[in-house]
Amino acid sequence: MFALRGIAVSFSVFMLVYCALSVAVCLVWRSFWLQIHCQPARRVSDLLFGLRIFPLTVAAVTTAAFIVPSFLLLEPRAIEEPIGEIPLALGLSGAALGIFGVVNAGLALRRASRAIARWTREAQPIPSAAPFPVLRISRAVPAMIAAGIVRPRVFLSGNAESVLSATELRAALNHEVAHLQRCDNLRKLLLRFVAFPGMRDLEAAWLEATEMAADDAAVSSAGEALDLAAALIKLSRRDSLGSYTDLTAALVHSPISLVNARVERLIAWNDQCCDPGKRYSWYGVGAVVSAISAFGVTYSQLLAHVHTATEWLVR
Amino acid sequence: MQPRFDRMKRLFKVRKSSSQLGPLEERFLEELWERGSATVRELLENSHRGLAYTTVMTTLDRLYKKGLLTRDAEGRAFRYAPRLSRDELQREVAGEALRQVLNASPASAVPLSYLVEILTERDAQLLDELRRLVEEKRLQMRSADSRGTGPKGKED
Repeated sequence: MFALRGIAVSFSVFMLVYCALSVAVCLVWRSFWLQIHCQPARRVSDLLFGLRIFPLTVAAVTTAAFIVPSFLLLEPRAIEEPIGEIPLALGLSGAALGIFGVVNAGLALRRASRAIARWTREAQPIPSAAPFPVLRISRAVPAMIAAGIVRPRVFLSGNAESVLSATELRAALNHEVAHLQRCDNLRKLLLRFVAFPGMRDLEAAWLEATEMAADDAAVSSAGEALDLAAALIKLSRRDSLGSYTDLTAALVHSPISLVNARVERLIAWNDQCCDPGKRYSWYGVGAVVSAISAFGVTYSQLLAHVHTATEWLVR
Repeated sequence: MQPRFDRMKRLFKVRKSSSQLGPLEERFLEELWERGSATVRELLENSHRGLAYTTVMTTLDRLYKKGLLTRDAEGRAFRYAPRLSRDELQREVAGEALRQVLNASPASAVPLSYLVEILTERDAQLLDELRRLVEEKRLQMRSADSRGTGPKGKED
């Protein structure tokens, strides 16, 4: 009964924190995006992804660092306390949410694995300087796609290879390699775990930012940017823009307005893009260290308060 | 202002005949979107000095009766404001057009295939335009390079 009560309380708190923060993220992400959208695409992508998984992270940390220890250390094992209806319902909802996330991610993973297996069966390796295997497939669609999480690789259709010039092909490959280096497919899988209604627009904005970040990483001069833009245009004509496979990163995909935005951005590309990542990193490290120190000093008191709160929840 | 009127014309061609807009109605609607709201007197004083008071009043009244404007009494006159934003009206018009297209044929697949054709054509036009922009930029870079003033990338 003690263990069951502990699980119910943990799931309840997880559920409360996760749902409250998810609703808050749904409400505020547009304002947040307006604040950051002028920054480099890579940073926008990272920030949007961070915001998207913020509810999960905070709920998981709160549960693991406070709820579970406070229950284990401060809850008397001998007392037989019944589980209230509210924590029971919340706990079951939390468990259902977790199961849904696992099933959702599992299904996406299975779909992706099947597609990759299908492509791999007919693929021929191409010698390339890219840090990941590049495989040629005979089918026309997808024209070019980065797939796989554990064993990432790039699939390139023979059709696309014949259409693109050498420089365009190199720029397009660099784009796909950038996706793999940034583990974008793994991030997509993580988003499947944390599916929540109302997050679709935020995820679409993140996806757009990842494409632009990969564009930025793929080119290092205005000429290369034009090569990538030309590759995008050529492959957009051949690849049906709706051919999207789960947990992969295709060079071109719908909507065409995104292709338009990317091409316009590449045409206007310049090498002024600074990398402000390091400028703020020390502030971030400082904030994390301060927060951990503060929690370390007041941890036992915090656990007592948390336990009082969970007691109230159980009753 | 003229291209905007042309766009409005295209927009309203698809509306039902009872709610089609005349040029003056379009101009007033555009102006009210710009200003937020206005009385007949304000419209006359600011940008329609050549028009008679009754012309403006009748036109705004027609727009109100078509459901495109709201009005509140302000003294002895009315203050008019657009009922829908430009985007909302465009969405409503597009929805109406789509409904008309889909109702045009008993076989629903036929108008849908037209729609797909139009969208495909539009996408192709957009890609043509983008290709033209890329080529233009390439030419610019080449001519700038030949003059020695080209934009320098990291590799330069």
